[in-house]
Amino acid sequence: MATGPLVQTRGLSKSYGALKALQSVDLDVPEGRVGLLGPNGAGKTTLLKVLLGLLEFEAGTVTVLGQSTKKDPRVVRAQVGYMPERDVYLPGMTAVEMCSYAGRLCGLPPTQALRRSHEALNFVGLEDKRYQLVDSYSTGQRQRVKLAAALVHDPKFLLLDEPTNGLDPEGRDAMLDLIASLPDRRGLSFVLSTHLLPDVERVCDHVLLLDGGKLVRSTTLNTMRQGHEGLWQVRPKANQEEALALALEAVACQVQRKDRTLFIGLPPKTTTRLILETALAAGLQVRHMAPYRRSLQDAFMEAVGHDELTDHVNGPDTQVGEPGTQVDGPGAQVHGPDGHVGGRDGHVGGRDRHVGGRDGQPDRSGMSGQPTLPSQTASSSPNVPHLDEHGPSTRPVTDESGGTVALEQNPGQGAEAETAAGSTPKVDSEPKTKAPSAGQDREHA
Amino acid sequence: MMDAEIRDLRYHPYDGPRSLSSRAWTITLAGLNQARKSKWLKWLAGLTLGITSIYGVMLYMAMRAQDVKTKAGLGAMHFKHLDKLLQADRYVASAVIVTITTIGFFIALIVAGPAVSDDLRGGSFHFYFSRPVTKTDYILGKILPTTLVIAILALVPAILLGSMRIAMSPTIEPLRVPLMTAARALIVVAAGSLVMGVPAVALSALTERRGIARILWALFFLVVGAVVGIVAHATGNKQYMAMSIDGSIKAFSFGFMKVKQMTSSYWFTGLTAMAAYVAAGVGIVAWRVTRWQTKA
Repeated sequence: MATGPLVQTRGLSKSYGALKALQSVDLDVPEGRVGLLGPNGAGKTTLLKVLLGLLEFEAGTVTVLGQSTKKDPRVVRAQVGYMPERDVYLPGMTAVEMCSYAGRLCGLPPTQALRRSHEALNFVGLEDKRYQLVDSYSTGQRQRVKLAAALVHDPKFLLLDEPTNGLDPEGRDAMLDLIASLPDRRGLSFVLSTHLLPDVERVCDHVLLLDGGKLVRSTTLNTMRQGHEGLWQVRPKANQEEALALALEAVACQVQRKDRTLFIGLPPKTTTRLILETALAAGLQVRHMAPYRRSLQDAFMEAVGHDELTDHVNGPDTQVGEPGTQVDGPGAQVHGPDGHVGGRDGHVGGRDRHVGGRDGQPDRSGMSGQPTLPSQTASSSPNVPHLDEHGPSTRPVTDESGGTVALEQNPGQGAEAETAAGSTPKVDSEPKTKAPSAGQDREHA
Repeated sequence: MMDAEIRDLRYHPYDGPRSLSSRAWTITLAGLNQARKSKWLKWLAGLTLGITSIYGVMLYMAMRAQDVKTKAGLGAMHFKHLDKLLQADRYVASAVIVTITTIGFFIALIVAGPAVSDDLRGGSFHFYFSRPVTKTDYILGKILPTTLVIAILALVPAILLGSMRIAMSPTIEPLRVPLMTAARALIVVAAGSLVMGVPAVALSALTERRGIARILWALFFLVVGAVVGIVAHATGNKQYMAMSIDGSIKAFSFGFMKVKQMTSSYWFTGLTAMAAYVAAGVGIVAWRVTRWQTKA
């Protein structure tokens, strides 16, 4: 593996006529699982093509694995694998022939190329169908062949452009598992370019956010989710939002209301007990309370647009993005239940065929359009409710008379835990962020 | 007991050599491999052998007759038309030209039709250019298979009849003459194959459907030939006939092999037209690649 960043760009600019696809992008891509995230038209594919030396650029420098793409892009391409977004196959060729051909084009001797094509097809789970014409493959199988062809020459670094495009839920899961396993099983790093937040959230450790041709943010996934420690998300009984907000403000909480939900910043040295006791004292019901864990979706919104919550609760000094990065894209939105990132014009970025959208794929990563709530769990003692993000979600509840404080689990997530009034509702005031799932190392052999 | 290889399909890091030389030949070999799968090529190879046999018989008869005439001490003055018929090089040149223009037309139809159109349909530009393949590699790699298949089949009459010409050369004739005939036949094969192959590949770069590419090629070949024939007939200027694809090959080949024929005196026009067809064809393929590379 190369030391230092795999990819480095400085002042990279590329235009298509009047359209500025990339604007002075300074980028360092570290080793590992890197997600390149942005709405459609953000410049992701252009950036990948520039990295491969397929596109000329107007200004700046680009080095990939320490090699300048402008000087000799062929050297770079020989060491980099690329899985393009669109369907790619060679009519009349079997999968073995195609992968072997890919290997020979990358400079491997014919015997090695053929041998490695068998290995690569075995890796992607197509060992039984490797002698079939690629023309006859399903979309998912073609995606796998593309991945195999990108891996056959044993690249040091892989560029994946929308690899889950057009896949059904099972195919998407399998493809993401394969991708996530690449660093462990083949020892190579990758950049996953996508507008599907769940894909990045599931397999990546590091995130690059592009919007409007600008690098909005480059950070780890965990860092990106941080920034709202101590913030709690509380939903009172209907029509009690205003009253609860006033009551909490009276006890020095910072409160921001969004629809029926209150986002509450606790005063120093207090716990969520303050919220519950305040509600109890005011005769109000809390139907749901959870530590606010920022999802990648929220982070993306914050990075590319204006985030009222951050300004209001954390104050105007809260920094969005890293020093020097420019927040751009008025009206940038994150849309829909499928987690697709919308464009600046409000266009839903996802395509109809994308999994996770209209086809009803279960949202496994919490990118459901609503802010993701970390789950909570009751403690081992039934009388001492203990909020923890690693267990099933619970809802602290006060009864109508205000005499009971309970932690009610979400439907379908286990038994109800309840505590009587007067007992001590023990809650963690510091929400923890959960490390992203790095995918499973599933053997397809 | 059969020997069997146990193949370990687990991942192994690759530490072997990686060549960075031109990929044109790799692409060419892949194209030839695809062409090899076509059953029509076998039929065309058989047809080429048939044409060669017919011209072989004619060449044999011409050379035997010339031998008889020389031994009889008959001069050229009395047998002006017979001399023309007995010109041995005519049969070598004709066999090569007929193979190139007729068999070559069908080969171009079969091999060149899908050359680039399949790549456009299958999105293969991504496949090629995300690897260490240059535009020149790609263009050469797409043009060469068609050209080579035409050339290989056209070499059959060139080599067989050229050898026959040398073997049956009269003792009074300097050996240099039949050797030059054979060498010129090879050059004609190379040039003619290129002219038949490149425009067909270029037309396949204009559409994603190989069927349409084949129709375009057939129309181009036949319509241009018909138009220049009509213009030449109407104006009485035979030079126009040296401007079509097959006409240019004929004019150049007969002129280059010093065989008297209707358009052989316009061999330079033919050569110019051939160069124009090749240049235009290469330009179209290059334009297609550049367009893909620069589009958003």
